[in-house]
Amino acid sequence: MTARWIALLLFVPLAYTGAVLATAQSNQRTARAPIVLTQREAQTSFRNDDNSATRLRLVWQSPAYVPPAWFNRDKLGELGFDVSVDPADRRAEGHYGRMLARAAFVVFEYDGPAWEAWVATAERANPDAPRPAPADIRDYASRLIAVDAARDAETLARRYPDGRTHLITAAEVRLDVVSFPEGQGPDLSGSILNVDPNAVYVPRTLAGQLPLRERDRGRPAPYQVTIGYGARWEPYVIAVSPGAASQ
Amino acid sequence: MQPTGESHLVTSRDAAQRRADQIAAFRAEVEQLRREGVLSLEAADLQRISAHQNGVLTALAAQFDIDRTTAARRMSRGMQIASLLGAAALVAAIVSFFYRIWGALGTLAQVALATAAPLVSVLVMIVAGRIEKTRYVASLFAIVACGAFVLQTVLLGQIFNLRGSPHVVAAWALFGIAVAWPWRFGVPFAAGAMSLAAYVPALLLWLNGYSWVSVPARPELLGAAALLGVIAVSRVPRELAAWGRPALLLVVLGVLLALTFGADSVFTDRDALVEGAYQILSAATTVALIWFGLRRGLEDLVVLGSLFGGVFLLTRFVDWWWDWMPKYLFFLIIAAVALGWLWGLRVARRRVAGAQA
Repeated sequence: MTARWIALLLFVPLAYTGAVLATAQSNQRTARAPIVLTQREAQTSFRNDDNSATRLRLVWQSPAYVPPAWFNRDKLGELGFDVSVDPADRRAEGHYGRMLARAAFVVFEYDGPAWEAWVATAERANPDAPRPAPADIRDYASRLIAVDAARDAETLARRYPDGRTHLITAAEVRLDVVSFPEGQGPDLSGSILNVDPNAVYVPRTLAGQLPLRERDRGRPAPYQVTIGYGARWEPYVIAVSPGAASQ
Repeated sequence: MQPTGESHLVTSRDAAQRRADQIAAFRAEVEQLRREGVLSLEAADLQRISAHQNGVLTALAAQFDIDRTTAARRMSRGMQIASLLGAAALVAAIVSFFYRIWGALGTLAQVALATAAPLVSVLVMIVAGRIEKTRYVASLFAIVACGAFVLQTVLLGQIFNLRGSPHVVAAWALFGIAVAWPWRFGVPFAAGAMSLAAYVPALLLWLNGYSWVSVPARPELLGAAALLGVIAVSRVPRELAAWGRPALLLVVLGVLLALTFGADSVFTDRDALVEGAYQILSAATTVALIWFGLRRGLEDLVVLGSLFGGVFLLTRFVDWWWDWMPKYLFFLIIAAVALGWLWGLRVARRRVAGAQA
């Protein structure tokens, strides 16, 4: 009997690795074009003696002062949230207050009309509010803006076929009860809690081309990174090039 | 003399130790009865029994390295603690080492190393188990193997940017239980059982389209799965149940305690009512655990029930009274409750003893 247990014990780690390798292989079979991001959208992890790996964290913009029009009650219903209670109803707080986040797929538009609209909204929404200077926003902020979400990625891939301008990824989305714009009653809006995976590993052969990021050293040096999102909608780094993107 | 009869049926160190304890107790009682003039066994009979027992003890010691004295037993406890601490330190060392060097390795080397870590640990565990009868070193490497397997799944997930999946928790459970079962290693079994208890609610949430890491936001699911585990664990070998049951009970009681403080719940919109219901349930659980533990002679249930009851009452009293009650009165009430608690346990013990007599 013990021999069978030993065989099982040796089999489980090997089988796990085999399954992961097969999954990674199948992920790379995709026709969708990769996307080229910069240090603004894909930030390297800080240099750390205890963790020598380089990972890129995806950075996207939160809504600028007003919730995004597309992430409304209807969209939340499509994603599986129970939106049957009127947000103005007295039962709304209990109903929506502790609603769990749901798994979904979201689309981020890169450096497109949504980004321009986001900048314009941020600049005019509340001129007196403390916020980054317009130059900081235009030159340093991430240009990834969430523009749509769905339960399955294929629906989004059909709606947004160009992988160079639209990044589709798994995410964790949340329902919020909001009171924007001012003067109107409460409404429902969605927000993105996290993307899954929340960081992209950079293989050693490419990591050497990325500038080291150290705490308290100001803004990171410019670079570009080409990321593919595969058949399983899991990312992988294809190329890295130091230096600013040519406009 | 060769051991005969029942000694051949002893298959684990715990069972061997129980037999050795039984023999020691028998000898002590025989000696006591002789001194009190009650026993009138023939010397030849006593010698024959003694010779047989010596044979059994020698055989058990040769096969399982049992503790034959109280001092040896105390040393064994120390060795158990040392092996647990050693395992934790070794796992931490392996994890730190991997994270320190993995950026300098190519993908192939990373995958090979991450996969080799649990395999090597398992092989060392098997070899150590064959060399050393007490299996302290083997149990240390069993824990290391579990830690290395968890590290393997996490690292491969990061290297290949895999999306999170609850099934990885099931793999941890499978590996932990597979390491524990044939050699009766308690800690890996407890870890495997807890992973399995966490997998059930994670899977349910995942299947219903929720984020599977939201398990802490619906603690009742985790508590219910752990409670089912407590019931199921009664069917596993005694040495494993001795670790699995308290570990799962700790999960159940931890969930219950959190719910009495208004932690997130499946009942989302009746905070006060839900808190009150869980407070009543906690009090009932305390009594049930102690009563059941006393009735069945399960010491771990009595200890856990008493500890939980103490922590539950203390937290309730602080929540209800700390802000407005004079401190001397607060502590006086705590002391009175502790005395009442002692009295209640004494009554329960007397009744159980009376029922068993």
